[in-house]
Amino acid sequence: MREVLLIFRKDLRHLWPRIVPLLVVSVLLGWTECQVLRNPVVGLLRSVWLLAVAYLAASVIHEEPLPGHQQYWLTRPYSRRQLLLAKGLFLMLFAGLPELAMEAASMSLNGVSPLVHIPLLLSTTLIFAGGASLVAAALASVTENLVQLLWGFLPASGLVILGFVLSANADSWQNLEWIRTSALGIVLFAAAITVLFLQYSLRKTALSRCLLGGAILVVAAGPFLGSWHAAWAIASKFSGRPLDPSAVRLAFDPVARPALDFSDAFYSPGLGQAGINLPTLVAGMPTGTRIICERIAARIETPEGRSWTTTWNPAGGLYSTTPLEDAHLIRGDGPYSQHATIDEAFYRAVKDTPVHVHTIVALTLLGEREIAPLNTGGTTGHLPGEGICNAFPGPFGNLMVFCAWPAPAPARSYVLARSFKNGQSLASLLSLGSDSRYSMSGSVWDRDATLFPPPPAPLEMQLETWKAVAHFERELDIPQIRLSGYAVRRITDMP
Amino acid sequence: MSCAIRTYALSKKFRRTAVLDGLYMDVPDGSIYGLVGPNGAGKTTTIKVLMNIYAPTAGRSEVLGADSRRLAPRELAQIGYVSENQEMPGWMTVGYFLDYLSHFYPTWDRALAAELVRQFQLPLDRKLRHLSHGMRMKAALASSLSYRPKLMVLDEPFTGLDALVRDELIEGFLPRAENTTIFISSHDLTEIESFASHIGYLDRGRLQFSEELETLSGRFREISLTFVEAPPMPREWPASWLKPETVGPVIRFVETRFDQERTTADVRRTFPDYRDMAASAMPLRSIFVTLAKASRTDT
Repeated sequence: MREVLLIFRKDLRHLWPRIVPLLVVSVLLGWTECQVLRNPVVGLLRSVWLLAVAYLAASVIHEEPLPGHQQYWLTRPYSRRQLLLAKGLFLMLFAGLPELAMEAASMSLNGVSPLVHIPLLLSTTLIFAGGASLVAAALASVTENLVQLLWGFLPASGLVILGFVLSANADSWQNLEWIRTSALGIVLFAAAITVLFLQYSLRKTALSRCLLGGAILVVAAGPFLGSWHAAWAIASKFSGRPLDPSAVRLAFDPVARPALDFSDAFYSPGLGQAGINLPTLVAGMPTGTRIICERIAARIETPEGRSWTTTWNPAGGLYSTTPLEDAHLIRGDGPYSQHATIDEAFYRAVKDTPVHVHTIVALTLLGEREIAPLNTGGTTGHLPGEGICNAFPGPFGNLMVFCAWPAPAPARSYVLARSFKNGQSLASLLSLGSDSRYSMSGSVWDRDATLFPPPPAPLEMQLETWKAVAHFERELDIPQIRLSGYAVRRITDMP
Repeated sequence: MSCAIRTYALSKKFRRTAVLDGLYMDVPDGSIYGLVGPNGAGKTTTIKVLMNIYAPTAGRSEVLGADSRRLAPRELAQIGYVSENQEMPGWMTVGYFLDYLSHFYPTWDRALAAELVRQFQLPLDRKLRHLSHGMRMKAALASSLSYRPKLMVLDEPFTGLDALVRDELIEGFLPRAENTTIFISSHDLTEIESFASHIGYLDRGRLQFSEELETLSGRFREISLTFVEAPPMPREWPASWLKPETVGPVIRFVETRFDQERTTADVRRTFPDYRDMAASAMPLRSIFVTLAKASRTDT
């Protein structure tokens, strides 16, 4: 330990000019975090803070560079383990501790006890301060100086950014995206830890560079990797199932009139696509629950053996025939529509022949509803999930409601507004929370906002929150159906 | 014989280039061992393998009885390493550098460190990056002598230094290294000759010879044979005679295994009609040049 402190003191003596700016940025970020419902620059400051952490991590590793053969310290009686510990202590004190302190202060000043959220505080610090430090340290451990590091960092960043740009049209997993992000994070962190181990124990720079490069390639290709359904299966395993969804049933309703026109169907098929709406009855929903339809997969087979299969598609699925703002919300037992998009050429070829349709929808059961009054102007605290909200006038006569929760935010939350004057009411969707068990934003707070035209004043407002209690799938099998009777017409198809 | 350094079939390749090729070397305890050889012979690579800066491709080496691949802080605390191209922490002042390092060495002698600072006239408050090359070498030497290491490894310590600084360095470290084995690689053969007890000659990654300097000086002689008239060069020529040349009626060559009786007999057999023979001792520099040239001719 004596050696650790010696190296630590030496690093502190040399690097204090780089520590001070990081601490200043930490204080600024902490201050903006405390203004959790007001400050728009928090994202920018967080990026600056991450860069400052990465710079400090690289600097402290470069105090004793590992690649090369001319460093004085290589032939001095340094214990590599103590050296690594000294670097870890340094980063823990100047990157981890300030983040922990600022997030705890932010919670405390906003009426949330940090002591209740210690796992969240620790995981946020570990993931962001720890992650940024770890990756920067690994990159620094395979480079001799900052210039070399930049030569590695810039192409790596470019590659990752290119991956994200190219993935603009790739399938976004929305509330399950945290699973892919976590998997990529694990790959990167595991690579960084392995590289640090290799470098500090064996100084295998070439191998370490390959390993780190490979991990960066995986991260860059990340948006194209994995399947949504696999993530869904993982999320289903993690869901606690305090409410049993087994009673929920779907049935085709052949007598109901399907929504055929673009005006009364929620979905309108795109170019090269045809859409079908299947009237579906939902039954068996547990009392006090709602269902969200996440995605749909469909298979259509003709008697001659031709078939068409969709992938798990977020455009479509079970939806309300009288949608307000949240069409995918199934409020209770009753008639709904099931929409699937299929290839237009296939549709044209089979539309008038009886075909076999098989669909599977991925559903999330919402439960544990909570509701609390919300101030129509100003801040309201101690809301469900320890949330805080701020309501204020928005542009064009709209009302803006900005809310924050210690991560994760509820799976679904709505601002309910009702006019005392004419009884008009509305429910504005506020958040589509992630299923993640930890913060994905770098902050302990998950923030969401909604903007809506308020009913005539005076009015009352409430915040309604739901938790995701189970993920499950339901199948619908229709042995014989003529698709032409259920097709949705585009506006261009109108006479 | 106990040895501070031992290598067994030590090899080092950089990609496909073999720099060390099965090197066997013993550096006896308490010796001052000069490793000499032409540029690219592998001297610095040998030292870096010994100090575990490079991993050997094959073979192994022992330093103070420990496998050089596993040199731990305990062994490194007994080894002083000074290299002409070593990167020092330029931001540290000389004083802080010495103070910082002192905590890593259980045997650090503050009085000795102060004496070395005084002798080398090191400015304690000046940053290492602001020192001249000579002063930096002195600082490195002071930081390596202050804990009375059992082994000093010096890689070309005199390169780029003027004669005065060289003398100061040698005068600084030799008297303080009485119980220390010194392993030094250098091009400065005149300086090496003045204090080395053993010499190893490395060429193309192989140790051509390794022996006590006294023995080496004893077996190398420049032989001059004088004739009445210029003689023809014989076809048969002993393998131990190098660098033959004829200047008028005189033939000169270097005998690498000089022995008064045997050499005289060889000369009589090869040149029965020579008139006079003179054998003169050779400085290390001449021996080195002779060997280097002979090696190039072989190549």
